[in-house]
Amino acid sequence: MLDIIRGQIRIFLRARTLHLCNLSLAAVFFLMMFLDSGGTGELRKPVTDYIAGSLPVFAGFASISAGLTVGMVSGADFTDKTINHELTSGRSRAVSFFGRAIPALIGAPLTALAVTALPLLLYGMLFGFGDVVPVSEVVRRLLLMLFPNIRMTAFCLMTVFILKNPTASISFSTLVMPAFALAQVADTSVPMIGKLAAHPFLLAPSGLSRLGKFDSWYTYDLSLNQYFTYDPALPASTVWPIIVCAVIMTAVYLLIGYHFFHVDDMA
Amino acid sequence: MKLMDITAVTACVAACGGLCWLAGYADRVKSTKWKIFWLIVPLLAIGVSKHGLTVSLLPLYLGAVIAALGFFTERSGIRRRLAAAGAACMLLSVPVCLLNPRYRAKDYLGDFEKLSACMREHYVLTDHKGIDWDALYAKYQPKFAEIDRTQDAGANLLTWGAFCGEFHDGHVGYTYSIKEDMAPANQAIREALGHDYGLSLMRCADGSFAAVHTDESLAEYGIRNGTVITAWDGRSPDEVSKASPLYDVNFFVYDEEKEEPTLIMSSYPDMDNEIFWSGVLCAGVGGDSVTVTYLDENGAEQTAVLSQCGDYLDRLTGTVKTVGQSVETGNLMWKRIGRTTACLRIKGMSFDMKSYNSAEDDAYDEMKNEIRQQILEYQQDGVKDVIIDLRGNEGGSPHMVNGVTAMFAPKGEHYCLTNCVWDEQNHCWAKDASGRYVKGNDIVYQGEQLLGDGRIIVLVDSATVSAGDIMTKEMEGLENVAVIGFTEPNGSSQAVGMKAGKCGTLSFSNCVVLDENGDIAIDSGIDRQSGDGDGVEIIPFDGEAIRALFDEGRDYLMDKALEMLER
Repeated sequence: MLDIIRGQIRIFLRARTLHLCNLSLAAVFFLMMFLDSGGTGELRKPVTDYIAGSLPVFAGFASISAGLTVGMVSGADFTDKTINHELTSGRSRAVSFFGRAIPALIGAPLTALAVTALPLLLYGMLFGFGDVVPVSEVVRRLLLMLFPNIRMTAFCLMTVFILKNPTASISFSTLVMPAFALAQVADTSVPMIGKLAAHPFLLAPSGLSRLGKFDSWYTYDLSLNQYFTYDPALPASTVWPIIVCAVIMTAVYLLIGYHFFHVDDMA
Repeated sequence: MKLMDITAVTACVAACGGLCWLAGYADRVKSTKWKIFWLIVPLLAIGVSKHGLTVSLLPLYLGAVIAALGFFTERSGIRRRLAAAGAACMLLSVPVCLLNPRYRAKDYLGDFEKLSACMREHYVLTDHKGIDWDALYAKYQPKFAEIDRTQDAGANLLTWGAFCGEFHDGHVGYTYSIKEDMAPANQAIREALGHDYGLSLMRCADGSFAAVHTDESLAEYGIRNGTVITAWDGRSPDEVSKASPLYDVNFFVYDEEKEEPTLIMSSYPDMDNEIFWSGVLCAGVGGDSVTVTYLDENGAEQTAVLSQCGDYLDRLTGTVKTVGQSVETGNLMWKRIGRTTACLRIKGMSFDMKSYNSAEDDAYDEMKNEIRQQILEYQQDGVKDVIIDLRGNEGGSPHMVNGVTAMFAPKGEHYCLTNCVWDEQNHCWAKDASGRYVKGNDIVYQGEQLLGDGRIIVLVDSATVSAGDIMTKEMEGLENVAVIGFTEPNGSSQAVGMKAGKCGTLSFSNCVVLDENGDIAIDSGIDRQSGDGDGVEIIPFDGEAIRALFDEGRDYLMDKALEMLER
């Protein structure tokens, strides 16, 4: 298994396309914030202002990188039949599966975290962090968002091993996750997503959005200047079901993925 | 049981039947790819119902998991047994849903807790109106707890109406968001308003109560429009009105076919407006019959026993519409009233979306050009004076108010309102050491005096609210303008915020608007006197007005305005 894990790490480090995609995502996030303040304009919002208002969107789009990582790294061995050769050469299915699952479950969520956090960190260092929400709370939220990302990674792994094709993982992460993130912040809500979002522990995207969302209130004056206030608190009663469901569903997805792979005809 | 839940159960049970067949097929073809279908049942169980998860459907979810366990085995016999067991478990959800009193229960209490807490934190007139939040919570929390237990949608709306009525603020209101709550809410209001005895009551300028909107059948008793009613079941009409469950309560009746509210009544910020309407709810209070004491044509006191003949809702709606009538035309539309007079109807302070969301000086240039052009055309046709009908104006943008007022105001700079300063550090409206809001910049506008020496009369009523209040305040300060009405305008000018719950939305004053002294602009405080009524010329609501409105069907206020212009 260690050989397979080392191999996965090597694939990850050499996957230029993946790094390019991750860097592009991070660059887009940075540009979104930079251009919102008018380029080099004087009125520049601190990074915590963007975090308070848009962290679920950043995190939802950043989870694309988790799906890409699973597809391009864990799923790569299906396209070139490496895994077939591995199995025929005597390696057990369990070693093949978990040798890929373990680095994916660690690396993909951390990649998503990096894609989310690095542009925010860079922007904050350049233009200020501000105090719209406490930075410590932001760090806490980002770390909590690892759990839904791990769950989503496990789901992508399951699809890759069932379909023996990385396309499903890549498609899911690039289409479904961002759509869900946007739908939850859109003014006209999609009824089904609204109902599912009412139970944030139900799906990984809804959990991710809820953990990144700061409850807010807004007011304005006669000159239509808008003022936002944010509540940094996240009740434990919201957090724990999301974490517990993430852990349980990660185990379920891995179980399903492994069971299918274990008896699957690899032809 | 809801149709979507029945569909979900049916679909999942049918899926289990499909799995039973598929178990044999997969075994025959010896292919593992069919295993995926065993994962579909849990997706169906969660995904089909648009109403979301509920504890009552737990057997459905458990049954889906049991059926899905067939994924982990290749033996068709075990798969079939699991599918059958799953289907049986799913079917259990039907009696559970039918017998569970909390099945799809609406969270009325949770909504109250959440919305009232939000309002407590963000309502800007707490000190100004002397609101005791603890007392309000202690009074209403048990009521909402009971409503949550009984799931009474009608009582929910009425209780919210009573809660909102406590603030005497035209910007505080609750609307339900669940469509199926509409019918019970309308029914609850209909019942609370009581019976129809063939008449409504209105308070006259001299303090007496007169019958209005009377049914022809009451003529045999000598009761007609204008007949003075001295007692209702032995009590004074305003005393009876105050005993109505809807007195000082914000409520509305929604017509689903017309897709609009047909009756809106509320508590009044200004005490004078409350007194004006103090008799109107009386005429619905009573049992199968009521004893009415009235003055006949000779001034002698008579008594009549009137039997109930339906619900009071329709007659009340007609009464309110007649008293609160306005020029029937579109928003910002003109109507030629007389030889030298034209009327501009303003139903709401909104021109278009682009200008509504802008505070720029030129945002309403297009609107102003249209008004300017129309006035010039009218002037060429002999029009000298203008009547602006603000009755029932629902408010909107204060910048549009300035845009319209600027057309008619004398040349020079005029004051509108003052912004409050926002405390960036504490994320709240700034207050000084004494607890008063801190003044920011003044909002002003430049007058054009388009009418020259022409006169302007503005018509208002108690439903003229928000930006309508602001326009009234601005107009009554201008020397070439007279503001008239049976009542003052509503008396609510602070801007609005909203908080949505699961069952409804609460709106309340959220944005501070100050006057030139740094005090809360217009909105009434503990004294229940709003700041935009002093300049309103009150037209007495008397026998003459009643005859004109209810017998002759005339717009009495408009007639009075024309009379004033002809003097």
